[in-house]
Amino acid sequence: MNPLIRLSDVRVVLGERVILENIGFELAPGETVALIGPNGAGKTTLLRVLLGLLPYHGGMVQVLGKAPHQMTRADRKQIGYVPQALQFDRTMPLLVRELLQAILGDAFRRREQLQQVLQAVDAVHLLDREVRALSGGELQRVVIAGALATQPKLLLLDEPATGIDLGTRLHFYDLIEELRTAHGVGILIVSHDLSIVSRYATRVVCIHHRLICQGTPQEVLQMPMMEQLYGHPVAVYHHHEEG
Amino acid sequence: MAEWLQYDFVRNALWAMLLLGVFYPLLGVFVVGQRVAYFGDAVAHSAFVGAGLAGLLGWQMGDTLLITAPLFALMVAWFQQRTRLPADTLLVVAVTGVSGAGIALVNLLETPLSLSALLFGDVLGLEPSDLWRLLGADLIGLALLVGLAPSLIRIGFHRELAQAQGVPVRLVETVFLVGLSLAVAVGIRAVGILPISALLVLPASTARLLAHSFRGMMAWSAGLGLLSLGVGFLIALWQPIPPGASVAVVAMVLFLGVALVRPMQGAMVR
Repeated sequence: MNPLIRLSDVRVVLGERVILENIGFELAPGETVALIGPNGAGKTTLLRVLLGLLPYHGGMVQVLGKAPHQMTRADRKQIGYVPQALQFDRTMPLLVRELLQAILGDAFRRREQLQQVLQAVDAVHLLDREVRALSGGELQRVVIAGALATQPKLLLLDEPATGIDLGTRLHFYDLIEELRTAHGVGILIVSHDLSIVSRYATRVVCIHHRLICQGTPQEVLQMPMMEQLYGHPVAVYHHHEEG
Repeated sequence: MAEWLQYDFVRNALWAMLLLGVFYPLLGVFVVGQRVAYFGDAVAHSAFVGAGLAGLLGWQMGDTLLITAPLFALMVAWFQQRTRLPADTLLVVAVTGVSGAGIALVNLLETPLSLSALLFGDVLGLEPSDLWRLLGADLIGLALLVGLAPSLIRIGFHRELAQAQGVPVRLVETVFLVGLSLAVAVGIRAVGILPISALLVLPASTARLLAHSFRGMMAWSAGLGLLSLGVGFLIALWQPIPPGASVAVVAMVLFLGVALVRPMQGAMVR
Protein backbone atom coordinates (compact mmCIF):
# COMPACT_ATOMS: atom_id res chain seq x y z
CA MET A 1 0.00 0.00 0.00
CA ASN A 2 1.38 3.42 -0.96
CA PRO A 3 2.28 5.60 2.00
CA LEU A 4 0.13 8.68 2.56
CA ILE A 5 3.14 10.66 3.70
CA ARG A 6 6.71 10.07 2.59
CA LEU A 7 9.53 12.26 3.94
CA SER A 8 13.20 11.85 3.26
CA ASP A 9 16.07 14.03 4.47
CA VAL A 10 13.79 17.07 4.73
CA ARG A 11 15.41 20.41 5.49
CA VAL A 12 13.50 23.59 6.32
CA VAL A 13 15.12 26.98 6.78
CA LEU A 14 13.37 30.13 7.99
CA GLY A 15 15.52 33.19 7.38
CA GLU A 16 18.97 32.17 8.58
CA ARG A 17 17.72 29.50 11.01
CA VAL A 18 17.63 25.82 10.22
CA ILE A 19 14.31 24.70 11.72
CA LEU A 20 14.37 21.10 10.51
CA GLU A 21 16.97 18.82 8.94
CA ASN A 22 17.42 15.12 8.30
CA ILE A 23 13.72 14.44 8.85
CA GLY A 24 12.55 11.20 7.30
CA PHE A 25 9.63 8.85 7.98
CA GLU A 26 6.59 7.39 6.28
CA LEU A 27 2.94 7.12 7.25
CA ALA A 28 0.84 4.34 5.73
CA PRO A 29 -2.98 4.08 5.61
CA GLY A 30 -4.32 2.71 8.89
CA GLU A 31 -1.43 4.08 10.95
CA THR A 32 -1.48 6.67 13.71
CA VAL A 33 1.91 8.32 13.92
CA ALA A 34 2.49 10.60 16.91
CA LEU A 35 4.96 13.40 16.37
CA ILE A 36 6.53 14.35 19.69
CA GLY A 37 9.26 16.70 20.83
CA PRO A 38 9.80 19.69 23.10
CA ASN A 39 8.31 23.12 22.41
CA GLY A 40 9.98 24.79 19.43
CA ALA A 41 11.25 21.45 18.08
CA GLY A 42 9.67 22.10 14.67
CA LYS A 43 6.59 19.85 14.91
CA THR A 44 4.07 22.47 13.77
CA THR A 45 6.52 23.66 11.11
CA LEU A 46 6.63 20.12 9.74
CA LEU A 47 2.82 19.97 9.59
CA ARG A 48 2.77 23.29 7.76
CA VAL A 49 5.31 21.95 5.26
CA LEU A 50 3.12 18.89 4.69
CA LEU A 51 0.15 21.17 4.00
CA GLY A 52 2.17 23.29 1.57
CA LEU A 53 1.87 26.35 3.80
CA LEU A 54 5.66 26.58 4.17
CA PRO A 55 8.36 25.71 1.63
CA TYR A 56 11.08 23.14 2.29
CA HIS A 57 14.66 23.58 1.18
CA GLY A 58 15.96 20.09 0.72
CA GLY A 59 15.02 16.42 0.67
CA MET A 60 11.72 14.94 -0.49
CA VAL A 61 8.18 15.58 0.75
CA GLN A 62 5.25 13.63 -0.64
CA VAL A 63 1.68 13.80 0.63
CA LEU A 64 -0.86 11.54 -1.08
CA GLY A 65 1.85 10.83 -3.65
CA LYS A 66 2.46 14.47 -4.57
CA ALA A 67 4.70 17.32 -3.48
CA PRO A 68 2.57 19.58 -1.24
CA HIS A 69 2.61 22.52 -3.67
CA GLN A 70 1.29 20.23 -6.43
CA MET A 71 -1.77 19.14 -4.46
CA THR A 72 -5.07 20.13 -6.05
CA ARG A 73 -8.15 21.28 -4.18
CA ALA A 74 -9.57 17.75 -4.59
CA ASP A 75 -6.40 16.31 -2.98
CA ARG A 76 -6.76 18.73 -0.08
CA LYS A 77 -10.33 17.59 0.50
CA GLN A 78 -8.82 14.19 1.36
CA ILE A 79 -6.83 15.79 4.17
CA GLY A 80 -8.45 16.81 7.43
CA TYR A 81 -6.45 19.42 9.34
CA VAL A 82 -6.98 20.70 12.86
CA PRO A 83 -4.58 23.54 13.74
CA GLN A 84 -2.98 24.02 17.12
CA ALA A 85 -4.76 27.05 18.51
CA LEU A 86 -7.71 28.81 16.99
CA GLN A 87 -7.24 32.53 17.10
CA PHE A 88 -9.96 34.44 15.33
CA ASP A 89 -11.90 37.66 15.42
CA ARG A 90 -14.29 37.14 18.32
CA THR A 91 -16.36 40.19 17.43
CA MET A 92 -17.87 38.79 14.21
CA PRO A 93 -21.36 37.33 14.57
CA LEU A 94 -21.22 33.93 12.92
CA LEU A 95 -23.30 30.88 13.75
CA VAL A 96 -21.68 27.45 13.94
CA ARG A 97 -23.93 26.26 11.11
CA GLU A 98 -22.89 29.25 8.96
CA LEU A 99 -19.23 28.45 9.59
CA LEU A 100 -19.67 24.76 8.78
CA GLN A 101 -21.60 25.59 5.61
CA ALA A 102 -18.79 27.92 4.51
CA ILE A 103 -16.17 25.23 5.26
CA LEU A 104 -18.02 22.25 3.80
CA GLY A 105 -19.71 23.87 0.81
CA ASP A 106 -22.89 23.02 -1.06
CA ALA A 107 -22.77 19.30 -0.22
CA PHE A 108 -23.72 20.16 3.38
CA ARG A 109 -26.60 22.62 3.01
CA ARG A 110 -29.22 20.70 5.01
CA ARG A 111 -29.61 21.09 8.73
CA GLU A 112 -29.73 17.32 9.32
CA GLN A 113 -26.41 16.90 7.52
CA LEU A 114 -24.79 19.52 9.73
CA GLN A 115 -26.26 17.89 12.82
CA GLN A 116 -24.72 14.61 11.70
CA VAL A 117 -21.35 16.32 11.24
CA LEU A 118 -21.47 17.66 14.81
CA GLN A 119 -22.77 14.36 16.17
CA ALA A 120 -19.30 12.87 15.57
CA VAL A 121 -17.86 15.07 18.30
CA ASP A 122 -20.93 15.13 20.54
CA ALA A 123 -21.67 18.75 19.70
CA VAL A 124 -25.09 18.84 18.01
CA HIS A 125 -26.21 21.36 20.63
CA LEU A 126 -23.68 23.87 19.26
CA LEU A 127 -25.28 24.09 15.79
CA ASP A 128 -27.21 27.34 16.41
CA ARG A 129 -24.72 28.89 18.80
CA GLU A 130 -22.61 31.94 17.91
CA VAL A 131 -18.99 31.01 17.23
CA ARG A 132 -17.79 34.00 19.26
CA ALA A 133 -19.62 32.70 22.33
CA LEU A 134 -17.99 29.24 22.25
CA SER A 135 -15.30 28.21 24.70
CA GLY A 136 -11.91 27.18 23.29
CA GLY A 137 -12.80 23.51 23.69
CA GLU A 138 -16.20 23.87 22.03
CA LEU A 139 -14.66 25.71 19.11
CA GLN A 140 -12.01 23.02 18.75
CA ARG A 141 -14.77 20.40 18.59
CA VAL A 142 -16.50 22.29 15.77
CA VAL A 143 -13.25 22.48 13.80
CA ILE A 144 -12.57 18.79 14.38
CA ALA A 145 -16.10 17.98 13.16
CA GLY A 146 -15.41 20.03 10.02
CA ALA A 147 -12.16 18.15 9.45
CA LEU A 148 -13.85 14.74 9.78
CA ALA A 149 -16.96 15.57 7.73
CA THR A 150 -15.46 14.95 4.30
CA GLN A 151 -14.21 11.48 5.34
CA PRO A 152 -10.53 12.28 4.74
CA LYS A 153 -7.86 9.70 3.93
CA LEU A 154 -5.31 11.56 6.01
CA LEU A 155 -5.73 13.51 9.23
CA LEU A 156 -3.15 16.06 10.38
CA LEU A 157 -3.86 17.01 13.97
CA ASP A 158 -1.84 19.62 15.83
CA GLU A 159 -2.56 19.26 19.56
CA PRO A 160 -6.21 18.69 18.63
CA ALA A 161 -7.61 18.10 22.09
CA THR A 162 -6.21 21.21 23.76
CA GLY A 163 -8.89 22.80 25.94
CA ILE A 164 -11.29 19.88 25.62
CA ASP A 165 -12.56 18.20 28.78
CA LEU A 166 -11.39 14.66 29.57
CA GLY A 167 -14.61 12.85 28.59
CA THR A 168 -14.87 14.54 25.18
CA ARG A 169 -11.13 14.08 24.67
CA LEU A 170 -11.36 10.34 25.14
CA HIS A 171 -14.47 10.23 22.93
CA PHE A 172 -12.51 12.11 20.27
CA TYR A 173 -9.52 9.79 20.42
CA ASP A 174 -11.82 6.74 20.31
CA LEU A 175 -13.40 8.20 17.18
CA ILE A 176 -9.96 8.74 15.64
CA GLU A 177 -9.07 5.15 16.51
CA GLU A 178 -12.24 3.92 14.83
CA LEU A 179 -11.45 5.93 11.68
CA ARG A 180 -8.02 4.30 11.63
CA THR A 181 -9.08 0.73 12.24
CA ALA A 182 -12.41 0.63 10.35
CA HIS A 183 -11.67 3.00 7.48
CA GLY A 184 -7.89 2.83 7.14
CA VAL A 185 -7.44 6.57 7.69
CA GLY A 186 -3.82 7.60 8.23
CA ILE A 187 -3.30 9.97 11.15
CA LEU A 188 -0.36 12.20 12.01
CA ILE A 189 -0.86 13.75 15.41
CA VAL A 190 1.26 16.25 17.28
CA SER A 191 0.81 15.77 20.98
CA HIS A 192 2.49 16.54 24.27
CA ASP A 193 0.25 14.07 26.08
CA LEU A 194 2.50 11.01 26.20
CA SER A 195 -0.13 8.81 27.84
CA ILE A 196 -2.48 9.51 24.92
CA VAL A 197 0.42 8.84 22.54
CA SER A 198 1.15 5.56 24.32
CA ARG A 199 -2.50 4.51 24.09
CA TYR A 200 -3.43 5.49 20.54
CA ALA A 201 -0.26 5.79 18.41
CA THR A 202 0.89 2.84 16.35
CA ARG A 203 4.24 4.55 15.85
CA VAL A 204 6.05 7.47 17.42
CA VAL A 205 8.43 9.88 15.71
CA CYS A 206 10.55 12.11 17.96
CA ILE A 207 12.04 15.29 16.56
CA HIS A 208 14.06 18.14 17.95
CA HIS A 209 15.02 20.07 14.82
CA ARG A 210 16.23 16.70 13.51
CA LEU A 211 14.96 13.16 13.74
CA ILE A 212 15.86 11.83 17.18
CA CYS A 213 14.13 8.44 17.10
CA GLN A 214 11.17 6.51 15.75
CA GLY A 215 9.50 3.22 16.55
CA THR A 216 6.55 1.74 18.41
CA PRO A 217 5.40 3.53 21.58
CA GLN A 218 6.92 0.73 23.66
CA GLU A 219 10.28 1.17 21.94
CA VAL A 220 10.36 4.96 21.94
CA LEU A 221 8.64 6.03 25.14
CA GLN A 222 11.49 4.78 27.33
CA MET A 223 13.22 6.83 29.97
CA PRO A 224 16.64 7.20 28.21
CA MET A 225 15.03 8.14 24.88
CA MET A 226 12.73 10.69 26.52
CA GLU A 227 15.61 12.14 28.50
CA GLN A 228 17.56 12.59 25.26
CA LEU A 229 14.54 14.25 23.61
CA TYR A 230 13.33 16.52 26.42
CA GLY A 231 16.60 17.07 28.22
CA HIS A 232 15.37 15.75 31.58
CA PRO A 233 13.86 12.49 32.91
CA VAL A 234 10.29 11.77 31.73
CA ALA A 235 8.30 8.77 32.96
CA VAL A 236 5.53 7.39 30.72
CA TYR A 237 2.82 5.07 31.98
CA HIS A 238 1.82 2.80 29.12
CA HIS A 239 -1.75 1.68 28.57
CA HIS A 240 -1.83 -2.09 28.18
CA GLU A 241 -5.50 -2.61 27.42
CA GLU A 242 -6.52 -3.29 23.83
CA GLY A 243 -8.77 -1.18 21.58
CA MET B 1 -39.97 66.57 0.22
CA ALA B 2 -42.58 66.05 -2.52
CA GLU B 3 -41.75 69.32 -4.23
CA TRP B 4 -38.06 68.42 -4.24
CA LEU B 5 -38.86 65.22 -6.14
CA GLN B 6 -39.91 67.14 -9.25
CA TYR B 7 -36.25 67.97 -9.86
CA ASP B 8 -34.19 65.47 -11.88
CA PHE B 9 -31.07 66.10 -9.80
CA VAL B 10 -32.90 65.19 -6.58
CA ARG B 11 -34.36 62.02 -8.11
CA ASN B 12 -30.92 61.07 -9.46
CA ALA B 13 -29.43 61.65 -6.03
CA LEU B 14 -32.07 59.47 -4.39
CA TRP B 15 -31.46 56.62 -6.84
CA ALA B 16 -27.74 56.92 -6.21
CA MET B 17 -28.33 56.83 -2.46
CA LEU B 18 -30.43 53.71 -2.83
CA LEU B 19 -27.78 51.97 -4.93
CA LEU B 20 -24.96 53.01 -2.61
CA GLY B 21 -26.89 52.58 0.61
CA VAL B 22 -27.44 48.86 0.16
CA PHE B 23 -24.29 47.79 -1.64
CA TYR B 24 -21.60 49.57 0.39
CA PRO B 25 -22.84 48.35 3.77
CA LEU B 26 -23.08 44.79 2.40
CA LEU B 27 -19.55 45.05 1.06
CA GLY B 28 -18.62 46.58 4.41
CA VAL B 29 -19.52 43.36 6.24
CA PHE B 30 -16.67 41.65 4.38
CA VAL B 31 -14.41 44.70 4.70
CA VAL B 32 -14.60 44.55 8.50
CA GLY B 33 -14.50 40.73 8.42
CA GLN B 34 -11.24 40.79 6.46
CA ARG B 35 -9.90 43.65 8.58
CA VAL B 36 -9.24 45.85 5.53
CA ALA B 37 -11.23 48.91 6.66
CA TYR B 38 -8.18 51.14 6.60
CA PHE B 39 -7.17 49.69 3.26
CA GLY B 40 -10.51 50.87 1.81
CA ASP B 41 -9.88 54.30 3.29
CA ALA B 42 -6.42 54.39 1.70
CA VAL B 43 -7.89 53.46 -1.69
CA ALA B 44 -10.45 56.27 -1.33
CA HIS B 45 -7.61 58.73 -0.67
CA SER B 46 -5.89 57.60 -3.86
CA ALA B 47 -8.71 59.49 -5.62
CA PHE B 48 -6.71 62.68 -5.01
CA VAL B 49 -4.04 61.39 -7.37
CA GLY B 50 -6.66 60.01 -9.77
CA ALA B 51 -8.44 63.36 -9.92
CA GLY B 52 -5.16 65.19 -10.44
CA LEU B 53 -4.13 62.86 -13.25
CA ALA B 54 -7.56 63.15 -14.86
CA GLY B 55 -7.24 66.96 -14.86
CA LEU B 56 -3.70 66.78 -16.22
CA LEU B 57 -4.54 64.35 -19.03
CA GLY B 58 -7.95 65.82 -19.79
CA TRP B 59 -9.69 62.52 -18.99
CA GLN B 60 -13.02 61.96 -17.22
CA MET B 61 -12.39 61.66 -13.48
CA GLY B 62 -14.75 58.69 -13.11
CA ASP B 63 -12.93 56.71 -15.82
CA THR B 64 -9.50 57.62 -14.46
CA LEU B 65 -10.39 56.44 -10.97
CA LEU B 66 -11.39 53.06 -12.37
CA ILE B 67 -7.74 52.67 -13.43
CA THR B 68 -5.87 54.42 -10.61
CA ALA B 69 -7.80 52.92 -7.65
CA PRO B 70 -7.17 49.21 -8.49
CA LEU B 71 -3.57 50.02 -9.48
CA PHE B 72 -3.06 51.68 -6.09
CA ALA B 73 -4.73 48.74 -4.31
CA LEU B 74 -2.51 46.20 -6.09
CA MET B 75 0.58 48.28 -5.36
CA VAL B 76 -0.20 48.47 -1.63
CA ALA B 77 -1.01 44.74 -1.51
CA TRP B 78 2.28 43.99 -3.30
CA PHE B 79 4.25 46.07 -0.80
CA GLN B 80 2.37 44.44 2.08
CA GLN B 81 3.43 40.99 0.89
CA ARG B 82 7.04 41.95 0.27
CA THR B 83 7.97 44.09 3.25
CA ARG B 84 8.00 43.37 6.95
CA LEU B 85 6.30 46.70 7.69
CA PRO B 86 3.14 46.41 9.80
CA ALA B 87 0.03 46.93 7.65
CA ASP B 88 -1.07 50.09 9.51
CA THR B 89 2.34 51.74 9.04
CA LEU B 90 2.37 50.92 5.34
CA LEU B 91 -1.16 52.29 4.92
CA VAL B 92 -0.30 55.57 6.68
CA VAL B 93 2.68 55.91 4.32
CA ALA B 94 0.37 55.24 1.37
CA VAL B 95 -2.45 57.57 2.52
CA THR B 96 -0.19 60.49 3.31
CA GLY B 97 1.78 59.91 0.10
CA VAL B 98 -1.19 59.85 -2.28
CA SER B 99 -3.04 62.61 -0.43
CA GLY B 100 -0.03 64.94 -0.51
CA ALA B 101 0.88 64.19 -4.11
CA GLY B 102 -2.74 64.31 -5.25
CA ILE B 103 -3.58 67.62 -3.54
CA ALA B 104 -0.39 69.15 -4.96
CA LEU B 105 -1.32 67.92 -8.43
CA VAL B 106 -4.91 69.17 -8.16
CA ASN B 107 -3.72 72.63 -7.14
CA LEU B 108 -1.20 72.82 -9.97
CA LEU B 109 -3.90 72.32 -12.60
CA GLU B 110 -4.84 75.31 -14.76
CA THR B 111 -8.42 74.97 -13.56
CA PRO B 112 -8.09 73.52 -10.04
CA LEU B 113 -10.71 70.97 -9.00
CA SER B 114 -12.95 71.52 -6.00
CA LEU B 115 -11.35 69.71 -3.08
CA SER B 116 -14.66 69.89 -1.22
CA ALA B 117 -16.42 67.99 -4.03
CA LEU B 118 -13.66 65.37 -3.91
CA LEU B 119 -13.85 65.04 -0.14
CA PHE B 120 -17.63 65.03 0.26
CA GLY B 121 -18.89 64.14 -3.21
CA ASP B 122 -21.42 65.80 -5.42
CA VAL B 123 -24.47 63.59 -5.21
CA LEU B 124 -26.73 66.39 -6.43
CA GLY B 125 -24.60 66.77 -9.55
CA LEU B 126 -24.98 63.17 -10.73
CA GLU B 127 -26.16 62.43 -14.24
CA PRO B 128 -27.99 59.37 -15.60
CA SER B 129 -24.69 57.97 -16.93
CA ASP B 130 -23.33 58.02 -13.34
CA LEU B 131 -26.38 56.09 -12.16
CA TRP B 132 -25.88 53.40 -14.81
CA ARG B 133 -22.26 53.13 -13.74
CA LEU B 134 -23.36 52.73 -10.13
CA LEU B 135 -25.97 50.11 -11.05
CA GLY B 136 -23.42 48.15 -13.09
CA ALA B 137 -20.89 48.30 -10.25
CA ASP B 138 -23.56 47.18 -7.75
CA LEU B 139 -24.60 44.18 -9.82
CA ILE B 140 -21.04 43.07 -10.60
CA GLY B 141 -20.02 43.68 -6.99
CA LEU B 142 -22.95 41.70 -5.57
CA ALA B 143 -22.26 38.78 -7.94
CA LEU B 144 -18.61 38.85 -6.87
CA LEU B 145 -19.57 38.93 -3.19
CA VAL B 146 -21.94 35.98 -3.56
CA GLY B 147 -19.18 34.00 -5.28
CA LEU B 148 -16.45 34.94 -2.81
CA ALA B 149 -18.53 34.90 0.40
CA PRO B 150 -17.79 31.30 1.57
CA SER B 151 -14.06 31.73 0.94
CA LEU B 152 -14.00 35.14 2.62
CA ILE B 153 -15.82 33.77 5.68
CA ARG B 154 -13.28 30.95 5.91
CA ILE B 155 -10.32 33.30 5.50
CA GLY B 156 -11.79 35.69 8.06
CA PHE B 157 -12.29 32.83 10.53
CA HIS B 158 -8.81 31.29 10.20
CA ARG B 159 -6.56 32.18 7.28
CA GLU B 160 -4.16 29.25 7.61
CA LEU B 161 -6.94 26.69 8.00
CA ALA B 162 -8.61 28.05 4.86
CA GLN B 163 -5.30 27.82 2.99
CA ALA B 164 -4.75 24.26 4.17
CA GLN B 165 -8.23 23.32 3.00
CA GLY B 166 -7.43 24.49 -0.52
CA VAL B 167 -8.93 27.99 -0.55
CA PRO B 168 -6.76 30.00 -2.97
CA VAL B 169 -6.31 32.61 -0.25
CA ARG B 170 -4.04 35.03 -2.07
CA LEU B 171 -6.17 34.98 -5.23
CA VAL B 172 -9.42 35.49 -3.27
CA GLU B 173 -7.89 38.34 -1.28
CA THR B 174 -6.52 40.02 -4.42
CA VAL B 175 -9.83 39.74 -6.30
CA PHE B 176 -11.63 41.10 -3.23
CA LEU B 177 -9.24 44.06 -2.89
CA VAL B 178 -9.48 44.92 -6.59
CA GLY B 179 -13.29 44.67 -6.39
CA LEU B 180 -13.27 46.86 -3.28
CA SER B 181 -11.08 49.46 -5.00
CA LEU B 182 -13.40 49.55 -8.04
CA ALA B 183 -16.44 49.93 -5.77
CA VAL B 184 -14.72 52.79 -3.97
CA ALA B 185 -13.73 54.41 -7.28
CA VAL B 186 -17.31 54.30 -8.57
CA GLY B 187 -18.73 55.86 -5.40
CA ILE B 188 -16.26 58.77 -5.05
CA ARG B 189 -18.20 61.05 -7.40
CA ALA B 190 -21.41 60.60 -5.40
CA VAL B 191 -20.33 60.54 -1.77
CA GLY B 192 -16.70 61.65 -1.79
CA ILE B 193 -13.50 60.34 -0.27
CA LEU B 194 -14.32 60.74 3.42
CA PRO B 195 -17.91 59.38 3.58
CA ILE B 196 -16.96 56.33 1.48
CA SER B 197 -15.17 54.86 4.47
CA ALA B 198 -18.07 55.84 6.69
CA LEU B 199 -20.50 53.93 4.48
CA LEU B 200 -18.19 50.94 4.16
CA VAL B 201 -17.24 50.60 7.79
CA LEU B 202 -19.79 52.25 10.09
CA PRO B 203 -23.03 50.40 9.20
CA ALA B 204 -21.17 47.06 9.23
CA SER B 205 -19.51 47.89 12.56
CA THR B 206 -22.85 48.89 14.08
CA ALA B 207 -24.45 45.74 12.65
CA ARG B 208 -21.71 43.64 14.23
CA LEU B 209 -22.87 44.88 17.63
CA LEU B 210 -26.51 44.11 16.93
CA ALA B 211 -26.50 40.87 14.96
CA HIS B 212 -26.33 37.29 16.18
CA SER B 213 -25.53 35.68 12.85
CA PHE B 214 -23.64 36.53 9.67
CA ARG B 215 -26.88 36.84 7.68
CA GLY B 216 -28.30 39.02 10.41
CA MET B 217 -25.22 41.23 10.23
CA MET B 218 -25.71 41.69 6.49
CA ALA B 219 -29.38 42.60 6.93
CA TRP B 220 -28.63 45.04 9.77
CA SER B 221 -25.76 46.58 7.81
CA ALA B 222 -27.87 47.20 4.69
CA GLY B 223 -30.72 48.62 6.80
CA LEU B 224 -28.44 50.93 8.76
CA GLY B 225 -26.74 52.06 5.55
CA LEU B 226 -30.07 53.01 4.01
CA LEU B 227 -31.15 54.76 7.21
CA SER B 228 -27.89 56.75 7.36
CA LEU B 229 -28.23 57.78 3.73
CA GLY B 230 -31.93 58.65 4.01
CA VAL B 231 -31.59 60.76 7.15
CA GLY B 232 -28.29 62.27 5.99
CA PHE B 233 -29.83 63.26 2.68
CA LEU B 234 -32.84 64.92 4.37
CA ILE B 235 -30.48 66.90 6.62
CA ALA B 236 -28.54 68.00 3.53
CA LEU B 237 -31.76 69.24 1.88
CA TRP B 238 -32.67 71.10 5.05
CA GLN B 239 -29.28 72.64 5.87
CA PRO B 240 -26.38 73.76 3.64
CA ILE B 241 -24.28 70.68 4.38
CA PRO B 242 -22.76 68.37 1.74
CA PRO B 243 -24.89 65.16 1.75
CA GLY B 244 -21.77 63.00 2.10
CA ALA B 245 -20.83 64.78 5.32
CA SER B 246 -24.29 64.52 6.88
CA VAL B 247 -24.54 60.83 5.91
CA ALA B 248 -21.19 60.15 7.61
CA VAL B 249 -22.32 61.97 10.76
CA VAL B 250 -25.62 60.04 10.94
CA ALA B 251 -23.79 56.71 10.47
CA MET B 252 -21.34 57.66 13.22
CA VAL B 253 -24.11 58.73 15.62
CA LEU B 254 -25.86 55.39 15.04
CA PHE B 255 -22.63 53.54 15.74
CA LEU B 256 -21.89 55.48 18.92
CA GLY B 257 -25.46 55.06 20.17
CA VAL B 258 -25.42 51.29 19.65
CA ALA B 259 -21.86 50.88 20.97
CA LEU B 260 -22.81 52.68 24.18
CA VAL B 261 -25.96 50.62 24.65
CA ARG B 262 -24.48 47.27 23.61
CA PRO B 263 -20.76 47.35 24.47
CA MET B 264 -20.80 43.65 25.37
CA GLN B 265 -20.26 42.54 21.80
CA GLY B 266 -16.62 43.46 21.88
CA ALA B 267 -16.33 46.90 20.28
CA MET B 268 -15.48 48.62 23.55
CA VAL B 269 -13.24 47.65 26.43
CA ARG B 270 -15.27 46.05 29.19
